[in-house]
Amino acid sequence: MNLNSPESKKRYFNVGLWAFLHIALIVAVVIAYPWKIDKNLYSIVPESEMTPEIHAAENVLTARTSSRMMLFVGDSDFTVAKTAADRIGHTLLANKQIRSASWMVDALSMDEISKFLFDRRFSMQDPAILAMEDAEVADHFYNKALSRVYGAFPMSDLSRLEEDPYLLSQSAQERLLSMTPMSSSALTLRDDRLTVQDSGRTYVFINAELSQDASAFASGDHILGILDDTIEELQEEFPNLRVEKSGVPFHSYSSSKQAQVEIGWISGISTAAVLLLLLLVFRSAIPIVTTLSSIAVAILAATGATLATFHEIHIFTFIFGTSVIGVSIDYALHHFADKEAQVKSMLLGFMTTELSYIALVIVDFPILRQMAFFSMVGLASALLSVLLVFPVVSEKLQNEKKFPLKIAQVILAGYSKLERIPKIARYIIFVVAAGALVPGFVQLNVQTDIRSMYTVAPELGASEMKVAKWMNSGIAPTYFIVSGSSVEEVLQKEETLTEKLREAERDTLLKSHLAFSDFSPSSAKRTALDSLLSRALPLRYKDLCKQLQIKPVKNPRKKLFAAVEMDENTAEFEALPEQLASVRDMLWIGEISGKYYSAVLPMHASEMFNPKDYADPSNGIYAVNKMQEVNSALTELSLTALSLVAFAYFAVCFILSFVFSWRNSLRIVRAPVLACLFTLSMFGYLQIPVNFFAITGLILVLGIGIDYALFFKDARNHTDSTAFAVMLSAATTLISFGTLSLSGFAPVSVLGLAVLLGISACFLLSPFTRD
Amino acid sequence: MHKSFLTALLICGATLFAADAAIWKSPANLESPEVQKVMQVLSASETVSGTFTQKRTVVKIKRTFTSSGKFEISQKNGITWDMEKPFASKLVISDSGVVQTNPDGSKTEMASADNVIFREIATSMRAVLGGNIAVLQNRFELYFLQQKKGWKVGLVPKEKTIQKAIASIVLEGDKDLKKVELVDGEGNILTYEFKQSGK
Repeated sequence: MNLNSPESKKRYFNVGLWAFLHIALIVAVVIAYPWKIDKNLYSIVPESEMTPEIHAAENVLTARTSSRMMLFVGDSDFTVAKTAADRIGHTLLANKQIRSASWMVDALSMDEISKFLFDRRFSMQDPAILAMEDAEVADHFYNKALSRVYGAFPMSDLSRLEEDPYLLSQSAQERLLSMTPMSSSALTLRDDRLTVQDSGRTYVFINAELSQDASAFASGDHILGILDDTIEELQEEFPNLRVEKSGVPFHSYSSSKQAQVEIGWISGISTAAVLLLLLLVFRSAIPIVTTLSSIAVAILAATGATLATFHEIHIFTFIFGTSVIGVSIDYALHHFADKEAQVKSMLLGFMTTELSYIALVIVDFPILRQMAFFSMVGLASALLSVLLVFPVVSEKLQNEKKFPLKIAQVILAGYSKLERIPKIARYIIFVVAAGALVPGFVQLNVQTDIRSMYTVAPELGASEMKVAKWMNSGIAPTYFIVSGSSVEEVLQKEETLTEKLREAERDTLLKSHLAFSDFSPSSAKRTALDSLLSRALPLRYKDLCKQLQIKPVKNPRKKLFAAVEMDENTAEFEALPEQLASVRDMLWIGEISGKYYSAVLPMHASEMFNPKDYADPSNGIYAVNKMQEVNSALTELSLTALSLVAFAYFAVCFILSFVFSWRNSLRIVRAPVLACLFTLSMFGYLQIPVNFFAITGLILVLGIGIDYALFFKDARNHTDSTAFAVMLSAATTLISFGTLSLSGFAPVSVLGLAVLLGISACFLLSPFTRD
Repeated sequence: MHKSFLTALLICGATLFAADAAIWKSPANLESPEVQKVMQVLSASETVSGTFTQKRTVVKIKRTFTSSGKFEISQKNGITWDMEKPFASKLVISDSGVVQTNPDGSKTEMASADNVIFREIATSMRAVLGGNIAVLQNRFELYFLQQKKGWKVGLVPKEKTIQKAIASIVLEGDKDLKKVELVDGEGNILTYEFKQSGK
């Protein structure tokens, strides 16, 4: 080839342009540094209707709860269980990915609580006494004190009887201990460990928390991997040993580990199948290497552009990015397999696909926006490679081979026969086919339930069931977030809420609740309790002293029952005993952008309990059901995305009408639209809910499928080679997405199934578009 | 922390010595016929009832509180302490929980599931008074002393946390259970003297 010929110069200019654009992208990526890869599974969850502040508070709480883990190490021989628990505990403690791990109960922790409660014996009483008359309060504590001293099996500590004759610290302690989350569990103490007995084994309880920077994804040095190895070693040593696990980290680790293995298999098989197919067709490595290189460059370009624009990329974006592979391979195949690479069809196909993605960019959902942007850039890069670089490669393949077009010709002959059917018969067939879809639409269920997106591994599921039975915590799916401009305001609002919750408990709508203000009341409540008790307790003091053989002090109101001047409440920072500090860490969210937040958890709620009756959003008390909010937000997002893509299709049709006639434009969009309707109907028949991931699949069908129709429309006198290229494109897409539909990971399999059904229908319908 | 722990251990040790040194030198052989016989005495009847006198000595304030009433130990319904003097009050420890009735008739209920330590103590007490050898063996170091006029059983909880509330228990009896003496971690002594009226 003459290097100085205008044709050659043009080609080298094209390659230079392609290289320049991609190098510019690399520079942009470097300039945009620092960027990160977001691996947080919760990032794919959309923002709900909650205000951004409540959402931020909720996120802090979720991050905390999702890092907690519980392990139960059991054996029929308790010594073995203890040894194994010690080894597991020390393995956890020694790892930097673990924030805390505990499995021994401090024998002196009760002393710490006793001292704390003695100092706060007035303010920590049951707030229900505030509704009583002074004399009633005095009688109540008088009788309780007599019971504690003279009653059978008195457990009360009487060593400070003269300072605390009504034994208020004992009342506070009983109240507090009955409220701690551990109190309702089946755990018992044994050798300074919390243990539980089940099926002939004694299990030792280990409580641990992952550090914030520990990954949710499985990797070689992940602590949960190390933990699994340790457990395996222990089980080799002690064959009867069982370890039950509970907590979000185990699920994240297990699902990502399963996904990694599965994606490895699926991508391996589909890549091998696609390569084999291409090798059979081209019988040359050059088009295959070129096609794969263009895909690799497209993915790198898409990754770079996303990092440069968003400064981060979510791991899920790569999954959606498979569409880039699907479409880029189509462009490359058309270039190599179609007799005349149809630049016009490719450009139109590119434009229509990009329009679908632009529709997704408009949706207010950062991850979807990132995914769409990633795909847009990837496709642009793939198209540039095909248009600017591939011609240089094709030169070397000239005169090299003829493709086996026989199959394509036979198929097209079949379509021609179908088209020769009289119009009325065709309409009848169409109506019957459309009618067959109706029952599917009737059964259609457009809904996203993220619980159905994840199938718990059987062993982990059984573990969770056992732990739930032992712990008996019963945290309701809806909880409350309370906000205020100060710690005191939050605590006061909590107290208003808990008063209502106590009513619900009396009405047996709830068994109990967990609120930090029950453990650390507001200054207002403390002052009210102090004031009530300082008035009431002196009323029966002399009687009590006589019965308890105590010498009464003079002026007891001042010396024993004086109201304490309270400082501004600094509950968040108060040095609490260990047991109460753990409750604070669970419930107190803290300060976010100048406001304070806490959570109140209803426990063992009945079906009749409606949390919204107890919320007061105008007063900063919100009922939050993360699961419900996420589901409805995802369903709403899916429908918005679908509507926008439908709108984009109208726009596509409109734009196509400038190139083709209106009638032809409608014929082009007919294939992907009917394919989507077919897919929806099939989901109805199969009773698979059309969720966010199914709708994402439909969007891909619309984006990829329209290209087939466009290629056929522009095929003119080489429909056989176009049909061959479309066949190849469809085959590669079906192999890729068909294997995805086999995944055990529900979002991936649903996406794969939607694309498999849609692209199959699109492939079958698109030849009708040709002239 | 270690210092206070050592102090607690010393107090426990001292109280054990004070209660009755001989019993703690004689670990129980559960296979021995004498021990088996005592356990039979404790667990033989469906229901045991009678009167009791409770003496509670608090070392730190140097005071003893005495009260008396009726009791009933039932395999089925648990233990009922019906205090009569100086104030009427009632305590029922059963499988479902602990119910305390105060002198004014008000009730304080504690579901057995509600508190780990209280549950441990309630279960231990039921095992002691019901002669549940399996539970006793699980939770206590057992000691036994055969005397001329009867027997003594010594119990030391294995759990340090429980030892704070019950450092040791000594049961004394002959054909029946006559006396129970509980010493807590602070050295306070709680004594029950029983007069059984029916089985």
